[in-house]
Amino acid sequence: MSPAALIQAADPRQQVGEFAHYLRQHGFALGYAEVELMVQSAAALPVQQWERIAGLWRAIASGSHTQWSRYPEVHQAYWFPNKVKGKTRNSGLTQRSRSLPDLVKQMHSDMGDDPPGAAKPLLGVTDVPGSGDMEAPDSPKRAQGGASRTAPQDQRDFSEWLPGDMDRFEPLVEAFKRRLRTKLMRRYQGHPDHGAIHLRRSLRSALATGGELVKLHHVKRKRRMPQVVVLVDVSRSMEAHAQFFLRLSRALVEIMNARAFVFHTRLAEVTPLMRQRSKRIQEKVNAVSFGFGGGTRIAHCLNEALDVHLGRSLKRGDLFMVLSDGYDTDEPQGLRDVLARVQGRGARVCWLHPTVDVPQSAAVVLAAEHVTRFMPVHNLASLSRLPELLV
Amino acid sequence: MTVHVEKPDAAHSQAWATPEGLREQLFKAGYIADEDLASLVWMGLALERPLLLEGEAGVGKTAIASACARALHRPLLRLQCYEGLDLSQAVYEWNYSRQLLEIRLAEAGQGDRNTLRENLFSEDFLLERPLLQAIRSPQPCVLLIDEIDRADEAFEAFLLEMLSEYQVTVPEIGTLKAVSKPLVVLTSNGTRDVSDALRRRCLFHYVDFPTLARETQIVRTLVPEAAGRLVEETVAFVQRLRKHDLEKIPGVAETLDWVRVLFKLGHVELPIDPQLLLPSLAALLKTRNDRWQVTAETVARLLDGPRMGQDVGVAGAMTVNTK
Repeated sequence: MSPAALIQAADPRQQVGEFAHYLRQHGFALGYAEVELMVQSAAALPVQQWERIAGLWRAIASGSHTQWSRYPEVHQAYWFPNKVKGKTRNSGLTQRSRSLPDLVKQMHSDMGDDPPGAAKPLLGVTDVPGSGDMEAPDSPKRAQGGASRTAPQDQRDFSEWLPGDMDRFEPLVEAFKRRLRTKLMRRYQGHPDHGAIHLRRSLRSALATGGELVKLHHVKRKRRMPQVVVLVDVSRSMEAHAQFFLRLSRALVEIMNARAFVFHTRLAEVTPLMRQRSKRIQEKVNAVSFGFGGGTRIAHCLNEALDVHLGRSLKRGDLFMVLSDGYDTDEPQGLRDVLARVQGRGARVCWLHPTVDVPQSAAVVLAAEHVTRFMPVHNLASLSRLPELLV
Repeated sequence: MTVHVEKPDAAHSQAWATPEGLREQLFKAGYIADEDLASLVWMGLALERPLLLEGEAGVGKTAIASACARALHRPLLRLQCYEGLDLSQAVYEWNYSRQLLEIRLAEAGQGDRNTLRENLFSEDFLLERPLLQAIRSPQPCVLLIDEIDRADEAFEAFLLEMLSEYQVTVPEIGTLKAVSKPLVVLTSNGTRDVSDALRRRCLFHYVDFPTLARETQIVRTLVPEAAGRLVEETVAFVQRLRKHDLEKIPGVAETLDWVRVLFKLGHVELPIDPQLLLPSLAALLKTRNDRWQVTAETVARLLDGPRMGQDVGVAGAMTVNTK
């Protein structure tokens, strides 16, 4: 049977369902309603305008800017695989060829005179293997013999990671964020329907209804999410680890709205840079850090962060995270004093070090009493212990 | 809240029967839409689906809704979202003053108490806010829900019923179904992620900065009094400026403002001296860091880029198919 005949024989809805399944494999979240909408939109267009379908399906399938940018490539790869450069073709596999124009023609002939908005039961789609059930992955194979289910990446040191591996930070930071509890403040703020009655405001608004208390105004105590401050040491001794710590701090900025600083002999805030989704971020952060020279002045930089940048914004329950190996050229007492100041404000001081053991530099040993917790973050497994910082 | 409305006729209602027809109507309404955007709006109309437009501030997301209202000859209802927006401001509120007045009248013996008891929570005492107005309007309208990312998640959850079923449930009355289905346009600046449930109910479009050719045409259309050379050079300058790492990248709205400023200053082309341009850059650069970053040297470099003749070759050749 020729490919064209195969297409004629196949149900167009099923083909759209297969495409939806393909999209799901590429990270697009499509349900029944979306597949139905894709079918409807293709049927609503005149046959001659089948080329518009990519744009319409893009609007249906995408839910974010990232997906929006990726869609054309995925669409092209599925429907026009021959046009995709660098495609590897496996011989011996009998895969039915796809043709979007033919599919649209077939859809029109099948659906006839249906009005564009008319909903039809989505026949065929549920029969597509995997297309109907998004939650039906094959159960993972159990480890057998001496095999382990632990991904080698979990135990691999950060200095051996490739840039592509960095995306694994986000889920861990997400888990960390979930553990962060809001703090109850003394001040009150209005709430639409819960909390204590705000008598003055209620009486004031009752003036509009002749003194009748028709609508009560409520207030509740404010809640505040603890602020997270990340300070990354980018000195020469941290060269091998700095970019991974910067990536971690970027995840903290994106997910937990943290404030990020880099320091060396001087300090610079990089929070706005971390928020930008530019490819040149790394270059810019490097430019900022390379300008400082080779030494490390931790105490001086932490003091600057505290006095110049954070001001009074560091409060009780906040998280003050220092990512450093602890080698300091300042006086050892300097670090102890500044960390005592941080702790005096009620913030938790967490020292994340790239070594397995706690740094043994004189400054860190002296300041250890003011550090709430030391934690090694040399690989992914150790990073999964981040929530312990909040205990 | 309601913009210029003309009585729709058969010709208008058929004008958006195809994406090309709709694109032409949008062009006449003063909005130069690209093919994808016109197709999206057409699909939103044909399939009665809300549109979710995301993009940087100033790229023309809100303008799409008002252009659709003009092009389709429908009223525009706008709901500006903000933190703390609740149902009483967005959907409906009971007219307490009038209810009390009725009660007082009944007490004074001037009304029927039995009827009052039944009617006190009827639609007569309901103050309709934009969302309810949109679905209860006898004539289909365009509903703009602007900056949905600023609203609370609770409000977003409420929108789900309204956007999928075009109905609103008022506990005292019941479910109010749509008399006419509006074209709903939601905009978001991406300051926070809109929930997946809401995204699923919408057709998504990312409104990007326009190309040189399209932006030139937009400016020519909206600022026809400015000299052609000034428009071309200004747009090319802004396009080059966008490639710099600015905190707030200037959008089309900023380009339009800048062209208007330069026109008012009497320029017919961009002056060669950067010092003459620097004061007017206030229309383009909106943060202190950006102002600090764009110095006279930067402006001189941007002015010295490929001159307009080469840049605008594309713009001159490009015409929107409105025939």
